[in-house]
Amino acid sequence: MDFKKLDEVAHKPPVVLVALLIIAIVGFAAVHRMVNRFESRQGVLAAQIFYTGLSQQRNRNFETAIADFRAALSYDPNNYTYELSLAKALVASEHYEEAESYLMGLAERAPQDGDVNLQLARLAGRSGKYDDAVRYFHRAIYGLWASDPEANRRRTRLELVDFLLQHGQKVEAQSELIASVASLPPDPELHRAIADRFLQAQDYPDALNQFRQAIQLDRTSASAYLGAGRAAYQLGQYRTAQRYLQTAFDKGAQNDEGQSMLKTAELVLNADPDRPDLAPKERRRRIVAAFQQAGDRAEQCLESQNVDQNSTAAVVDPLLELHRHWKVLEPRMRRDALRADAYTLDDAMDNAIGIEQMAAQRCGRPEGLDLALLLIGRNREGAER
Amino acid sequence: MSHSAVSSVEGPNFPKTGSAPESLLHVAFREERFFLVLSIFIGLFSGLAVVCFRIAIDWSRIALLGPVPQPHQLRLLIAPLVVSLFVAVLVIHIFPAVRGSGVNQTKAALYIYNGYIPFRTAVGKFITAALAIGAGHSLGPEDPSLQIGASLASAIGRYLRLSRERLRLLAPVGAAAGLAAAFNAPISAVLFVIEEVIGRWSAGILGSVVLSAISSVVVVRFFLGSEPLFRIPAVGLIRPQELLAYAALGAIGAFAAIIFAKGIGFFRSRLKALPRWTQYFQPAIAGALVGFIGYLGAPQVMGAGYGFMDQAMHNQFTWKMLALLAVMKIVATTASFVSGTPGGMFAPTLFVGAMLGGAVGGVEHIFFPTLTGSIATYALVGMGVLFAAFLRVPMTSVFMVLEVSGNYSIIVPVIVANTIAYVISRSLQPTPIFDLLTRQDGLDLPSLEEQREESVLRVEDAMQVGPLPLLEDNETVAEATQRVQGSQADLYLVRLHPTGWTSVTQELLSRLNSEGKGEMTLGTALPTGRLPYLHPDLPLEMALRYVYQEPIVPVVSRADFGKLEGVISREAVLNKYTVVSREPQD
Repeated sequence: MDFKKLDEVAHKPPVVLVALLIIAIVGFAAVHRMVNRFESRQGVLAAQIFYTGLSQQRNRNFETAIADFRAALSYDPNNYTYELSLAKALVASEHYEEAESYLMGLAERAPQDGDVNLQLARLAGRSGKYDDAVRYFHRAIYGLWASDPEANRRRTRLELVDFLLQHGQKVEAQSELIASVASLPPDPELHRAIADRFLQAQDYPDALNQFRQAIQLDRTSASAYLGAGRAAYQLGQYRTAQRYLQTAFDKGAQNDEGQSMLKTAELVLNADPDRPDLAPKERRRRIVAAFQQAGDRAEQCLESQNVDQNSTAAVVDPLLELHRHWKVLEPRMRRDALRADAYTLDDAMDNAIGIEQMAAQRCGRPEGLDLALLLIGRNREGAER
Repeated sequence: MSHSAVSSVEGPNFPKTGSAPESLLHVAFREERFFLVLSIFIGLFSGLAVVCFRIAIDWSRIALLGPVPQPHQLRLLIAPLVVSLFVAVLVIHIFPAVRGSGVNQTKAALYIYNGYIPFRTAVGKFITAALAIGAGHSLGPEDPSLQIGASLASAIGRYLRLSRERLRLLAPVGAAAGLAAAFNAPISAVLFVIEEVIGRWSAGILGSVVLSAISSVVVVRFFLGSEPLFRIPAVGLIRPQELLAYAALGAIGAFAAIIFAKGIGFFRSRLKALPRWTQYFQPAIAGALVGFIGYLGAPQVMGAGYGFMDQAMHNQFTWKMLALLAVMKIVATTASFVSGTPGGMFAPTLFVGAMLGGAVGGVEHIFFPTLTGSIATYALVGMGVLFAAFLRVPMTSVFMVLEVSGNYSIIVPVIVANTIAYVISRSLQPTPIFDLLTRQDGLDLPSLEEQREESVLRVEDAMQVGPLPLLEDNETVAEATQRVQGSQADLYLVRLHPTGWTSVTQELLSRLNSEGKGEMTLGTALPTGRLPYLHPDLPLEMALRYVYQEPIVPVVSRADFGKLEGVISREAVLNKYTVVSREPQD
């Protein structure tokens, strides 16, 4: 064999290039195999460290969990679950800047991931970026969830509602709540949670409706009765409120505001002269009682404000004016109230409510029967409207 | 293959241009094009080697230090000590050329050994550096990758029997490929190789260097993913007033770099002077020191430390911890490097820069809470600062930060801080670290920094006023003879139209007159040869090509070749060089 010729051929550029190409292909295959084996081994190692980190996280040892998640990520750098867990642990341990960095990276890779967007929404909310937070919440609500998407979306929407309520955005909160009730499963706790938020958003009819559904699903829920009573109270439905509140307390509910509402509702029911089933005599008695109460309230309020009751000024204090009218009506109401005509009774009741409303503006929120009269006045206005 | 053998072999069997009708094959395999294709293959092979190298480091780290190194683990003390003894034996007995970073060795191969780097160096560097870095030595994989790439390129070139000139060029091509793969940053790798390995701007191999760097990065990204070294948090726009804060970082970084460089220079020369048997124990003592630092509570300084740089950029450490880590890393890296343990200084430099930057940023935030730059911004700028001040590669430092961060809004603070750091470092430490190491090894290699300081002599420096009068080619011989009467010069320049110059002596004019050619114009009477001409801004060495053929060479304006700026002669050029050589050197 002519080795010299063979050597010459072996060094010809085309032959060399083909040889290099073959070596490159073989090298690629070998390195590919090696990298795969190495990565699979690292993957196993990463998983072991990750689960250790998870158990640390469950025990609220966040710093140790973070170290483990980091180590897991160093062996499996592209693992989405590890990165998300690390980001959550970082949030939990208040390393917000780094958590945001991880989450932004994840959001770039999976912009529709509900969990990532939820975490970003929380971070944005924490750092006062209202618009960003709302945008991320919406992305989370309409995003993709690995498991139980409906429940996760609902939970996220409720978190958004809470966020909106914290920022005083009641109208936006009501919109989100209305959207959330469209497909609620028959879960009394869920109805109650949504009803609570309707209540905070001052959407009392929807709140009452949701509390009622919660009660239908679970008649033992004292909190649902309590909520329904509070919603009915705010709607001026005092008989309904009294019924729900009483049931709630009978079932063991403990709530000072509810107790106060129950008392007020009972006062309203006992003092309201406009209830349709009242006998004329009882109606007159209630008007006289309301009239007397309003007179006392006006007297106290004017005194506390040091208003000169004998003033002859051209512009008269409105409360003083009402009180003067009260004084005009008072002898007639005292002497022959039982024989007073309907016009006088209505005038007296209007005067009493006018005094309560004006005194509430001037001397603060009333209590007891004064508050009941104020609420009766509101109901009257509502009925007239 | 021996060094002398390299120079004696013939070139590969390239088709000779013009020897036969050019087929497509002939066109494709011309040497220049073949060299470019070869650069791509060098990039591919370097990329594959670096992937294996990184896996080897990871594997040895897991095996030696455990999957999650924590302080107070006994293996942090034992592993570096034992492995270093083994590495020392390998280096002394089997792979003597793999000591240190590999940058200087590659540069020496380029300038001294005609591009010859034994393949054994690549194998040895791979094994010893992987073991040393994996065992926790405070060194990085980038410089070894550079040397591995250069060694592979050299081996391929030798197999192909490339000419000595081509073989010499292959070393930087492989070096760029290796560095780019290790650093996942092709632009920085190309610039570093130009600034530090080649040591001069040379457009000749720029294409090959770029091609190899890019192809190696493609390979690495294919296997290991395209994620950058660090996750860079959002870097906002910076107010101009805040540049002062970055300037302060530049100054502090410069002093840290000087301490770092002086420490390496001081201890390395002393350790080299110790008896040879101590070389068996030097890496082990350094390893024990690094392990001890890790054992006591700073395992972050062990190995390259990229993960911890990432953490520093995300506010994971207080400024005090960052400052402590910077100091510990300088100590650990100095110990590891001066002991002769194979491994690079890129990663430690970045580590020190990131920690120092973060610490300075943290302190500045305490005193000036309104500063908008995040700790990550300071850490990034700090990396560039140390690169500029310690490695003394100012251009690479700027592009490295941009490439690593992928954010151009940071460029102004980076340039400000790096420039300040570079200037301070250069004035207080005139010899760059790589040059210092080279000189300690008894070599003297060119550097770009040296080249920048060289004053280039130009034609205008030796130019003289031309001989008067200046003659025109439309003058008659008689008129010209009349004009030159009384002139002291022997030789006169004649301006030709539309362009060109020639010369004429008094003697020639007299002879033409005596031959009855007095009424002929100079343009027709004079011989047809033209003088070469120069421009004032050309290097003076270019004049040497012509001044031995012509007594004077016209120097003309670039805008008007008919406008004489002066003339240059052999005597003038030699006088200028004589004067310059007698001037005192810095």
